[in-house]
Amino acid sequence: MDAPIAMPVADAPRGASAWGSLYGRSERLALAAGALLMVVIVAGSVLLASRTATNLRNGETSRNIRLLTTDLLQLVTNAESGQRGYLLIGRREYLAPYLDATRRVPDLLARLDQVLDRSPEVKALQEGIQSKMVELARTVRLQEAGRHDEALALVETDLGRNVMEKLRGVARKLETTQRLRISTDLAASETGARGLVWVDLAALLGLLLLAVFVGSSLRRTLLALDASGRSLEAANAELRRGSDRLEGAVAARTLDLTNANEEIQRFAYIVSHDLRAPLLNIIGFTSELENATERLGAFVALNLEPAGIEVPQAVREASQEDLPEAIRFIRTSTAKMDRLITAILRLSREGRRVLVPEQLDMAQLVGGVFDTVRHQAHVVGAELVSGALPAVVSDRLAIEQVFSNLVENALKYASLERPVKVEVSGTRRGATLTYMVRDNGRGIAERDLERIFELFRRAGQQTVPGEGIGLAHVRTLLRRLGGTIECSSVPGSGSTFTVVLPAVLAPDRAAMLQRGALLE
Amino acid sequence: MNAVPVTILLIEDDDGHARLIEKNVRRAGVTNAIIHVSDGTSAMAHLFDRGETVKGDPILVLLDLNLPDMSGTDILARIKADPALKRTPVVVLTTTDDRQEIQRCYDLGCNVYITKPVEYEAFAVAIRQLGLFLTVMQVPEPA
Repeated sequence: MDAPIAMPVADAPRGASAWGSLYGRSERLALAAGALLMVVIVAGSVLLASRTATNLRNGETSRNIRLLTTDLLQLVTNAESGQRGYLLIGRREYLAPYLDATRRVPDLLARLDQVLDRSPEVKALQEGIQSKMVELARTVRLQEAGRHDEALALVETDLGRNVMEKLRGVARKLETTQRLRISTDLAASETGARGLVWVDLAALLGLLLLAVFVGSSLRRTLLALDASGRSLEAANAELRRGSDRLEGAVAARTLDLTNANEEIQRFAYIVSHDLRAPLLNIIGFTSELENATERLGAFVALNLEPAGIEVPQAVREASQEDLPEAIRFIRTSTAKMDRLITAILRLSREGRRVLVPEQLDMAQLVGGVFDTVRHQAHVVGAELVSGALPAVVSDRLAIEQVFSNLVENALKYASLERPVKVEVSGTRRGATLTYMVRDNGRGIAERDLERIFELFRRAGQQTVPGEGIGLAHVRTLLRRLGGTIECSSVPGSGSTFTVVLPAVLAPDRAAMLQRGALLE
Repeated sequence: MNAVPVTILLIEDDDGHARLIEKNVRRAGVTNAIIHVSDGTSAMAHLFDRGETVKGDPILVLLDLNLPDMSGTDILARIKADPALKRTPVVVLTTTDDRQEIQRCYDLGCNVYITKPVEYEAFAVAIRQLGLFLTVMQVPEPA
C-alpha cells in the first residue's frame, strides 16, 4: 500500500449513543418548566372551578335568604292585616291570613335557619318575626277571650307597628346586603376567571415557547446525529475504498507474482527445451561414434591382426581403449545432463498444469499409492500401514504424486537393520488437514532437513540412484496446492514427513487472475 | 514406395537432428532422395517454385515446427491450401507435445504427428519406425 488508509473519526455529539442523553441540560430544564406550567394550568382550572362553585353556592344562599325574607315579610304583613280585620270586625273569617301565616312562618323560619347564614341581619329578622308573631298571637288570644278592648289597647301601644317597621328595615338592609354580596361574588369570580384565563394564556404561551425551544434543540440534536451518521457513513465508505485499494494492491501483487512465476516457468521450459536439442545431437552422435568405434575395433581385431598386418600400438589403444573410454564418459555425463533437463522440464510443466480440485477419498488414494509400490515393498519385506485419513478437496494428480514420492522415499531409504514399516495417517483441525508419512528408516541428519527439499540436492549416504528431484517436486506441488511440508527425523530410527493442506483447494486463483488480466 | 520416386523434403533447422533423422531413416531401408532445408524460406522455395526438384514429382514432407524464420504450422497451412500440393503427405516431427498444438496441426491437415522422443535411444527407434512406415507408404501423384 502506498497511501495509508485514512480513518476519520466521526465527531458525534457528546454521548449521542444513548437515548437518555439525547436531551442536553437546557432541554431537560425546559421540559421540567413545561411540566410545571401544565401543573399551573390544571391547578388554575381546578381553583377556578371550585371558586365558581363557591360563588354559585353563595349566590344560591343569597337568593334563598332574599326569597325567604320576602315570603316571611309578606306572611307577617298578611298576618297583621288578618289580625286587624279580626280586631275591627270581630269575625273569625278575617283571621284566615293570620292562621295561614302562623302555619307557614315556623317552616320558613326553620328554612332560614338551615341557610346557615349567621349574619346579624338574619338574626334580627328571625327575632323580629318571632316577636311580631308573639304580639299578633297575644292580641288574637285577647280578642278570642272577648277582651276586645285589651286587644285594641295592645295595638295602640304601637308595639306591633314598631316591630313591623323594624322588620321592614331589617328586610331592606338584608336585601341590600345580599344584593351587594352577590354582585361582589360575581365580580370576584369574574376577576378570578379573567385572571386565570390570563395565567392560562401565559402558561400556554410558555408551553409553546418551550415546545419551540425543545423542538429546535431536538432538531439540532437530530441534525447532529444525522451529520454524525453521515460522517460515519463517509468513514465507512473511506474504509471500504481503503480495503478495495488494498485488495487491488494485493491482486496486482498476486498478478505480478503470477507473471513472474509464469516467466520463470517459461524460462525453465525454454532452457530445458533448447538445451535438449543440442544434447540430443551430442547423445545421438556419441551413439554414432560408438557404433563406428566398435566397427573400427572389430575390423582391427578381426581383420587386420589375424591377417598379420601390424597395427601400431597407438592405433590399437585408440580403437580399443581411448575411444570407448571417452565415449563412456560422454555417455554418463550426457545421461546425467539429460535426466536433469528432463527433471526441469517436468517441474516447469507441472507448474503450468491447471489444478482441478475434486473430493478425494484419501484412504482410497493412499491405498492406490501402496498398490503401485507393492512389489518394491515385497522385495524389502516392508509393512505398509494406513491409519485414519480424512478426505480432502484437492488436485488428484498432484496429491498422488506427493504421496507416492513420500512412500517411495520411505522404502528407498529404509534401514537395513530392522523390518521396514511405513505408516500414513492424517487428522483434520478446522479447515486444515495434516497428513503424516512416518517411516522407521535410516533417518536424516538435522542439518540436512531443509536441504533435502532443494532441487538436485540429496543427503546421507548415496546408496540409491537419484537426482535430488523428488522432494523438490513435492514441495513445489504442495506450494501450488496451498500446503506445506516439513520433515522431522531421528537419524538411525526414522523420519516423519508432515504435509499440511487446506481442506478445500480454492479454484486456481492465479490462473483466474491471469485470464482476467489477459481479458483486460 | 511408388513407381515414380518420391522425394522427401526434410524441413529441420537443427543440422545435427537432420543428419540423425536421415541416418536412422536410411537404416530402415529408405532409399529415396532426401532434400534437407534448414529454414522456412528455403522450404517455401522448394515447395512452390520447385527449383531443384522435377515438377510433378511426388513429394513427402518431414516438418519440424520450430524454425528460425517462420512457424512450421504456417508452412503446413500453405501446403494444405495449395491445389497442387494439398494431397502431399506431411509428417510433423517436432519436440512439442502440447495438446493444442497437435490438434491444430491435424486441423490444418497434417497426416502424421510425431513428437521427437526426448531420449536419444527412443528417438532413434521412433525415426527408424517412421522410416519403415515410409517404405510402405503410398504417396499420391501431384495434381
